[in-house]
Amino acid sequence: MYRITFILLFFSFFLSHQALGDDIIFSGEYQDIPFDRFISDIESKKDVHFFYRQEWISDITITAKGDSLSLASVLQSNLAETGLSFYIDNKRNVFLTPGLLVTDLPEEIFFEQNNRDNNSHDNNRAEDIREKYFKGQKAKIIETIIIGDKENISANQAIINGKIKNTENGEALIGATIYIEELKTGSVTDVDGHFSLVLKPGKYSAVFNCMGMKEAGYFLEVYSDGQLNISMEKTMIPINEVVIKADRFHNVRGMQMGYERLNIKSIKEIPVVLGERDLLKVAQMLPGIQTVGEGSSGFNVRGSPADQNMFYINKIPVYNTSHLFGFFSSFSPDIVKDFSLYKSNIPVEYGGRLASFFDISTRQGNKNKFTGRGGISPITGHIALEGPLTKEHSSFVVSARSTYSDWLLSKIQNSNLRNSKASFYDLSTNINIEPNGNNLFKIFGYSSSDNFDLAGLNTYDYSNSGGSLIWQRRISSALSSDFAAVFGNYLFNTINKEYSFSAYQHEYKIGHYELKSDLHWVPDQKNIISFGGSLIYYDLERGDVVPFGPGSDRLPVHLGNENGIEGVIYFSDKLKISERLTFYGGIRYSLYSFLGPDEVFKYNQGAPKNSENIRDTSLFSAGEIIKTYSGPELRAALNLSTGTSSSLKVSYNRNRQYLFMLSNTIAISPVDQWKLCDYHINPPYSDQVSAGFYKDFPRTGLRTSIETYYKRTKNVVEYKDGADFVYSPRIEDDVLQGTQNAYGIELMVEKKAGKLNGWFSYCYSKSNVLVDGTYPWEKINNGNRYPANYSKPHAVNLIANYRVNRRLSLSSNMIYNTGRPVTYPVSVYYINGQEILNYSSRNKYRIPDYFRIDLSINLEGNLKSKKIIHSFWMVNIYNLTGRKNAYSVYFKSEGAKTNGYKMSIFGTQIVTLSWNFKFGNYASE
Amino acid sequence: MPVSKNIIIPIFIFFTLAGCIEPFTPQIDKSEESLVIEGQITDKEGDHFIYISRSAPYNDPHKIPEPDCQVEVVDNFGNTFDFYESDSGVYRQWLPKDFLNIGTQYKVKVITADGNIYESGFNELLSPSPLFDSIYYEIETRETDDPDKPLNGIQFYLDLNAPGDFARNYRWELEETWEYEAAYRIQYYWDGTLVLPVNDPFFLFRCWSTEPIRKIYTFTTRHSTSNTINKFPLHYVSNQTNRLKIKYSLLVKQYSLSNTAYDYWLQVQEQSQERGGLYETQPVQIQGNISNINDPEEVVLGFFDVSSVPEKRIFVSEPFDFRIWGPNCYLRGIEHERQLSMYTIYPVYLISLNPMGTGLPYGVGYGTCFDCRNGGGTTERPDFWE
Repeated sequence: MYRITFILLFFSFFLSHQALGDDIIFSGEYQDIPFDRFISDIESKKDVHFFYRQEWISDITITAKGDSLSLASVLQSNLAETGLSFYIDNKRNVFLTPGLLVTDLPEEIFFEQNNRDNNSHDNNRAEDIREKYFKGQKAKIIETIIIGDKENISANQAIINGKIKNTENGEALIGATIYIEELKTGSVTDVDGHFSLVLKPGKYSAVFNCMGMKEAGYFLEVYSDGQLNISMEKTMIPINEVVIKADRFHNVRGMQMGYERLNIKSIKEIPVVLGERDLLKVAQMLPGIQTVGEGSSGFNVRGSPADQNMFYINKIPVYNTSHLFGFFSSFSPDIVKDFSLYKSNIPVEYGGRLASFFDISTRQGNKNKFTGRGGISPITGHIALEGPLTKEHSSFVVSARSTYSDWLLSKIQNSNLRNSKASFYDLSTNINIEPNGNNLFKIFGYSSSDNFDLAGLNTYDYSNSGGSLIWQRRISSALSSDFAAVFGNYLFNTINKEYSFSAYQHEYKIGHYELKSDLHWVPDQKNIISFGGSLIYYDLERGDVVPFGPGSDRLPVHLGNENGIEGVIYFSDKLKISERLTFYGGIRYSLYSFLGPDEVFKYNQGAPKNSENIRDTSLFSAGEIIKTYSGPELRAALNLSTGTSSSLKVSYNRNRQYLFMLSNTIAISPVDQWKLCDYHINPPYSDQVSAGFYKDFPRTGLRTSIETYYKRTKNVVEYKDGADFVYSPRIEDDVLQGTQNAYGIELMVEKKAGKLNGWFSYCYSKSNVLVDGTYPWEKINNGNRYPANYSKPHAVNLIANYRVNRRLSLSSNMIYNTGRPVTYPVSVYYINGQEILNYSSRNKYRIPDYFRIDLSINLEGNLKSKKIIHSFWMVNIYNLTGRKNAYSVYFKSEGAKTNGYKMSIFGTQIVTLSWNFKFGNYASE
Repeated sequence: MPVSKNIIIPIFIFFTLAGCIEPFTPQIDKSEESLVIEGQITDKEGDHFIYISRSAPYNDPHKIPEPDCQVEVVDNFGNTFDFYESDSGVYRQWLPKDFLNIGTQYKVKVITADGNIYESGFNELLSPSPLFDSIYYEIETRETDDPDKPLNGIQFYLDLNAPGDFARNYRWELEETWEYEAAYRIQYYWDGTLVLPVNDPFFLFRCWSTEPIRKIYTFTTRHSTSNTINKFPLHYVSNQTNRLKIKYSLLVKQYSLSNTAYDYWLQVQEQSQERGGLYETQPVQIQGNISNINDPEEVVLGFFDVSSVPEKRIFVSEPFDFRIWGPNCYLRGIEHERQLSMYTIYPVYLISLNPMGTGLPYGVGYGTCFDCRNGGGTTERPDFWE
């Protein structure tokens, strides 16, 4: 099978002039076989070569049956309505092309071509080129793999388990698809490269596909239960490189909705600010994901607050994902491999947050040889090393990243910044041990830390640390399991020295300890069952606010320690009802107890929960249950296939969450505290319904989806005006609980392949909050609905990537969104001669709209196959138009007058140069 | 005191390479005018004021007094004092000592010309605000955006050491007065036709200027072990004005506040100092303690406050060793008297530039060259001036 460029196509075209002369006769039975399968089959049977572009033929199927079939007539009948033309030359080359094919050439060219045809030297050269470019690309003779025991053939079904690996480094391939042509069914590998299939004993042809890998086809002879391990080779043609790695299987055939998967390799060229490659920043260009401002930490997924997202890195929960207050995410690009994002139809395995789950997986480590990568940007330096511990069986990865931003700070005009210091680092280690095909152990450790000292007045230190131990075991051919023991800690320490007499220090800590088991059982061809459970223990020290320094007269405040336990069991079944209809149903039951020791205040009925209204105090001893909350979470989805490349999906989800973040600021700050639901504060829960239509246009390589959702969250935690948490051990006095409604529609068009690739997304969404209690003090905004801080109705993102050649590519982003809601002054008045502003109701106005274009030029090092280091240069121009986008609008009293200001963060073009390297050549993993 | 406020935001300026803060006028389609009632009952016998006005559109800020209101202050024993309108929107009454007792509660009641009735809740006159120990200053150099051009000046501080049972919330009002001089004594004046000598060359030479410092200072010791405040920074006076040249005085009035009043003033203070970061809270409509008794939803701005008010004054006259900006004067030389005809704002003051001390050539100039009152002050020496 050949794939060619246009140039070659023309070259070859001129070489041949004969009209449909040499037909090819073959035999076989094909029923709705994908065209590319058909091609490889014919190519393997007959000495025939097809020339085409993958995207032209992806949705075409071939149906033919007979002993002496004419290739020309088969193509004629099957391509009739596809808009493709074909041409077969006398060298048994088949050319496919969209539109009409011109086969008549002017006389003189005929003549010339005839002459050239006779010129054997030229012919040889063509052969040479073909040899040179396509060596190793030729379809192999299809191998037959025998599964099970020939002597002991299963009566009904055979369960096949397998693993798909990358030949080069032995890493598991995630999301690789297995397609059984005869049954038109298949499977997809999980995060560890495992898959399972249930087949009746018999002969099948199976196709293995994975992004960036060469397609592999095998004949399977299935007798009984057995193993099927496949290695796939990397494809050498970079035209195939994709920007977004969510397989076609997912878009149309899969159950997933509101699901995205990004892969660090695929976002390599996307322009970034300050030269730091950052998966989470790219994630913000996906529909339904917003932030309150550029450079701020935290996401708002489908109109939900930022504390409703869970970030996992190899199952470790990360409670603060930002470096330098949100300019960078705390995951080094060297170790991240990809991440999955679930924002609706969340599988039952995930829970504990309402809005989304970001599941980041890291590199597994090369099992065959030592290798590494790293890079330098104006802000950071980073490196990762990996290699085998014992060949083929175990591997390691270590990575480190640190900053040298102090020198930049010293260059700043602002006097406070000139005297400030900032630093951060992150480290991680991953060890994989695979003693045999049935067991896999993964040990992962992660740590990130930030230190910031503002002009000697305030310091902020915050850090994450975590570890996970994962044991994956295949218990039987139908049952696999995944056990994990995980911990994740987040702590911050802040010192405020603004006034020496009231200087204080505050240290906060949250610990998350979790045991988890996930089991997957494939009882038959129709069902895939998942079940399991988890147990989480939260150990939270809100800490003490203590005086700092000898001169401080600060009153120490004990904010309290909190403990909670959350137990979960879940079960789900993915049921294939018919060829066209698949149902996913699951239930997750969670039970949460808030545990002692604690002091619980009870307040007078019908009075504000402040210190004056305390009626009673109850003391609870350590481990005593103070309050328990529990409830089922239903998850259901339906996928109706409406054609070979389109489907309709609907889903319903309920989620519950037992902790939240205390934040009264617009963006998440490092001193925001997580807090458990307690005696007074009920756990928030949300219901989301969504529906979507998914269609692929394989011939153009386009993939489209349109998805709409409505989400209602109850008990969402909001803060009273002027609430201040640092001093407050009794949070119930500062918060209120309300209802949040969010709805929207998300449109996405992607082009994955080709020289020009990228995506376009548009999202219309709204999110508003209502806090309207019985009493006046239980209302926010007088009990009227108000837009959430991050409700930006229109958002448009465009990412385009143009690959000039293998070494040079150009990439561009375009981002537009409506300005964030804001509270503006509506009138002014005077007190003591000073002008004072009277503000509108909450979030009534919007800051100006946001628009930005970025550009990057990427240059790869040379393509020599034998070299030690391959490097990659990237020039980034962030905010090409230099537009001064409003980050915030604020009003400041100056003398007797108040003036309005608009602040932009990157109000000009930011040009950065960064350099990345890896050991090995261009193609090395 | 804000927690993360005013602190983190400069990190963003770090990435702000140039000119990223610019003036901005928001598009506000609808102005919402509200009644503003503001006033204070203090423990001091004397005139008390209630100010009533309407808020003005943001894009057209000006004072809109609300005339013709009936205003009364009532205490919890039923004593009523009617206030009369002394000036448009200014309501005034002299309150006697026996009406102003610690522990008494007061409220204000206002009936506007259109018949709406507004009332505050009762506020208690708290135990007298503790007198602060001292107001003092220190010479401090401040960095500016240009590292080579720091500011010199003095920073005022306040110390307070009160028994714990006193009020713990404070607000300070500051008023500055400074003495300054014109650049030259007046030798002659030109009345349009003749150059005449003056009797007292120094009659416009020395001035005193008094201005309120329009900044809100609040602090609470509720979160401290003792009711003490140590080195609380008040006002900073730099060498960029003439304030420190001769003699400077700062008057500090201290109000002790209830928790509600403190929360109100803290919000006013915070909102007047927004820095524009995302680590700040959204500004909110500040709710005072006055409402329309028939329409509780109506937004009524302002605060009716009851407080004791001790005050303290400090003088500064010190030969600082940093340069202080003097009067802003550019003197023009006059060679012939006819050149004076171009000066048409009379009287035109002159000084002889002749080395002999009299006669031509003259020096002439406006601003604070001769008349110190052009600097904003008066030649009347304040009573308190030492």
